[in-house]
Amino acid sequence: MTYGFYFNGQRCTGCKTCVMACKDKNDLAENINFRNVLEYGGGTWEKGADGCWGTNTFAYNVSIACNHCDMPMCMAQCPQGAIEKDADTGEVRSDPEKCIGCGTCATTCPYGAPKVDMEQMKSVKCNMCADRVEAGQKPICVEACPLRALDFGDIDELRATYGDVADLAPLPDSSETSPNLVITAPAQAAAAPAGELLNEREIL
Amino acid sequence: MTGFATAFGEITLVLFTTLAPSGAAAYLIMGLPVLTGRATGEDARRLNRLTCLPLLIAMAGLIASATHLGNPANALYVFTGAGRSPLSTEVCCAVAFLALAGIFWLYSFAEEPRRWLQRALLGAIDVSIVAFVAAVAYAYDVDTIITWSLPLVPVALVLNALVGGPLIALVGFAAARWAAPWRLLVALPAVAAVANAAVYVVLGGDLAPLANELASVSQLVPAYPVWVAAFVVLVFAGVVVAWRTGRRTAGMKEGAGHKRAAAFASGAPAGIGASSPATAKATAAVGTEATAKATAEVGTEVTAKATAKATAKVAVCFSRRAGRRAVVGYSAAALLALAGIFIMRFVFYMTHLTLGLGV
Repeated sequence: MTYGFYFNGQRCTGCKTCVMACKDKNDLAENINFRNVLEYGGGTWEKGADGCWGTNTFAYNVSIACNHCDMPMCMAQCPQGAIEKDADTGEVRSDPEKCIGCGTCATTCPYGAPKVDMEQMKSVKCNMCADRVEAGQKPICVEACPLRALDFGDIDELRATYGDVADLAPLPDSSETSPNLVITAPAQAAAAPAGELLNEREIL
Repeated sequence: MTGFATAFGEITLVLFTTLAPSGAAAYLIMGLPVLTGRATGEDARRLNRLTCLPLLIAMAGLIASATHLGNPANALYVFTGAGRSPLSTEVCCAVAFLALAGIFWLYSFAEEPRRWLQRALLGAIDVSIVAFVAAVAYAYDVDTIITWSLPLVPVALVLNALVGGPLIALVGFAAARWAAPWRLLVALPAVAAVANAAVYVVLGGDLAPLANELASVSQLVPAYPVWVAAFVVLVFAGVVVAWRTGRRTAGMKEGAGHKRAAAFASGAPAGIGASSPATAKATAAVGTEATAKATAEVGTEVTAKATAKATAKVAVCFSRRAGRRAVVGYSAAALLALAGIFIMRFVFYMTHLTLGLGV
């Protein structure tokens, strides 16, 4: 079975409880997040022909962590062979015994998922709460979400339930790494003009 | 947000990709006289021993790159990824080159080295050098890093090696007092520098529109044309210095007139022929264009005409004095060129941009 995450953009309010729950469970340093909430928005006000002002402004949130991709770029590029994909769960994990802290994984992942812990000088990343999953629970970010905007499970079941959309701005095109991710797009996303990331400094 | 912090954080890799490809190319060039059999005996011995110069330059780069590792203790796993991970392949090629070159250098101190073995080793080293430079060029060709997976990026690195390599090789040849075809070895980096500058201009156009959700190239590398201009100035200054050095030191044997040539021919301790008893022998052996006749003429009864002919035709070894001047001049030229290359390697790391949310 391959596990994956589900994100419902129509429920997320951007409260970042998922981020903090993950940080707490994994005892992460203040400059590292395994999960981030991206605030994405754009649009403008324009004066119509009738002299009335109208707007197409929009904003929505995207909660994102490691997607334990089927074609993980971090794993492909790691010179040490320190990153492997679990044959049973699909977890993409980094072996600290092999890692040299060169940061290649961090620089090649289009989701910015692996980080280099500068104290240990090792690559660190979301491990889909492997201990909790083994015990039959869901990852802590999923359990913590007060809006139930996140889910986790067999990726085939998630796709059967929620569809197979994995593309949503500002995420990279899913064809790059085949992420095990299913998304319900926010209501505004389909008609949204090009936007920009609004909380760059919060993304760690 | 500019890419300066990124590039400064990777400064050891900037140094590595500046020094190692040029050092490797210089090694290949310095090995050619021995590989092709043009240098034998004492000349070959000096050249072989001085292969430590480009080797040290390449090694300095590799050691610099190793210092950016957080846990070098685990580094041996790198060999398990050869062929799968481009970085692994790069490191494996580097180790193969350095190991073979190290062995070759040690063997150059053998009292009676076997020429066939040396030439075979040099052949193997040259293969590893070509593989190494290609591996460095493609090590950064990662699909998700949109600024590094452009087709001109590896071209620029190979041209870097062709700019720096011959100039470093000229230093080595001068130190070994081997009369290399200096015009060719200055013309090659000159042509490569023109091509390299053109590549950087086109690359700048390719890079300009690229951006991800966090940054754009114009933010990461402000004033790209200024960096390229600095590269052009430094590299061409290097080429000019090398040209002037070549003219001056070549002039010490060609243009110094018959007086010095006659002194050389009669073995008097002045000018070019004054270096050592081995010089006369070496001169005879060196001769790129030397004919047996011209060689025979040297040191026998010399007419002014014959001397002029011999001086013009025989590719005479550097005297120690000319060699020293050439070493200084060519070193300055190589340093200028490497400084220019360093700047553009720094810019390369400044442009690091992974698509999507990459940092």
